[in-house]
Amino acid sequence: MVNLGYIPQERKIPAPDLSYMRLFEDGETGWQYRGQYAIWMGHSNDPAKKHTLLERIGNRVARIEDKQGKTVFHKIGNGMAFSIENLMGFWLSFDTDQLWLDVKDGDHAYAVLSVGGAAGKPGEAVVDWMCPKCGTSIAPASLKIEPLAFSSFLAKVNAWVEKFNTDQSMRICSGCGYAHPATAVMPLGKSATTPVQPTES
Amino acid sequence: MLYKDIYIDKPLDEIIPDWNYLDEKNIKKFFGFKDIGDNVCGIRTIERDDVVKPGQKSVPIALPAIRENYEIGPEGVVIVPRIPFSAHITRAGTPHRTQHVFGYWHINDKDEIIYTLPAIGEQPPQVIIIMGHPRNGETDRFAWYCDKCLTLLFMRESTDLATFWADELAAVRDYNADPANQICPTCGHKNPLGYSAMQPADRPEEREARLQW
Repeated sequence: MVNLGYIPQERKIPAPDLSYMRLFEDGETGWQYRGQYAIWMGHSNDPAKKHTLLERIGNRVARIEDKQGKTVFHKIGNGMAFSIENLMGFWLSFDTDQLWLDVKDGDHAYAVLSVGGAAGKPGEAVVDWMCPKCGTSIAPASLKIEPLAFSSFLAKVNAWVEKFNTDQSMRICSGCGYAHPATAVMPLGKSATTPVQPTES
Repeated sequence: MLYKDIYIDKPLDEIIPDWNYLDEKNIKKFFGFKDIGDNVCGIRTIERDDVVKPGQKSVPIALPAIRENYEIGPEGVVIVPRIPFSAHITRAGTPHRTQHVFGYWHINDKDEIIYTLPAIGEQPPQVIIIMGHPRNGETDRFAWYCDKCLTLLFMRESTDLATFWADELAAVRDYNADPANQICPTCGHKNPLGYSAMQPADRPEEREARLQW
């Protein structure tokens, strides 16, 4: 059989990406950028490792959780800086809305973040840190998210985190002089719910 | 607790209005599809096992536990399970339908994410539907395919989310109005009538169709 070069013979013929399903507890698949959304899921049965959403309001922090443990379904608005405890030690904001689902069932806690909804978004994000003493933004970086390249964006975020961790001057708060500790990089790929601890220089 | 010194100590209700869409005071806004910015969202509660009987009190879009969810893919019609604690993503362009809930195939230009939540404590089983807000000509379609051979029988389009439910009901009524629409031009099969997702709008013959498929 002659291969005319469009589809290598040894490879499966490409097919359109169809609908798919994921269990909330399946954190092994990490971040997925499929179709029009980037989606992350986390699961924990250890209260100390629960994924809790934080939002930055002015120079203060709001913990987005129900005090009675009821399920929370919440919109993180376009441009809102947020962080997720036990996933990321930094803050992110996207140029599109995100939806956060926080479910507690007995000892199990599940969290789902979906980013997207608008055509061509997310296209840009800001990553930074927040001074835990005075709330000033530290070391902000604006990052482009190229079409179909969300995984490259995540790698760029982690590269910025590693730079932050190794360059102590980047971690000094311009507001109060506090030295922010080094932070975990975001876990990617398999086992993507356990943060990788920093190696501080 | 890195940020314990700068936590906001006020209740969330005071600083972020409607911060939890599942709160009792908010959930009624999501019986249909609510515009929440870049997305539209619906929240459905599984109230009963079977289809609402005429005269029974119910939310407008009632999901019976006995329903099946279907999609049309390259292999034909497939049943899509709704597994507790899962997210199912129906990709843009995929015809999909929920038995006894809406009597047509919905085809949109935006992806849909469906979260399936079981009963948790006093919280009843719920389904949360998220889809991108259609804009700039992005379209919702209401279509009917032959039950036997999947030939496309009839389709109407809507490009304005504000008139989605009016367009949906008009599509159902247009399809139902002419029996010729329900006869498959390929195999001759006579297909059932359509019905709206808003079950209070049912005419008697549409309620019969809702019970049927």
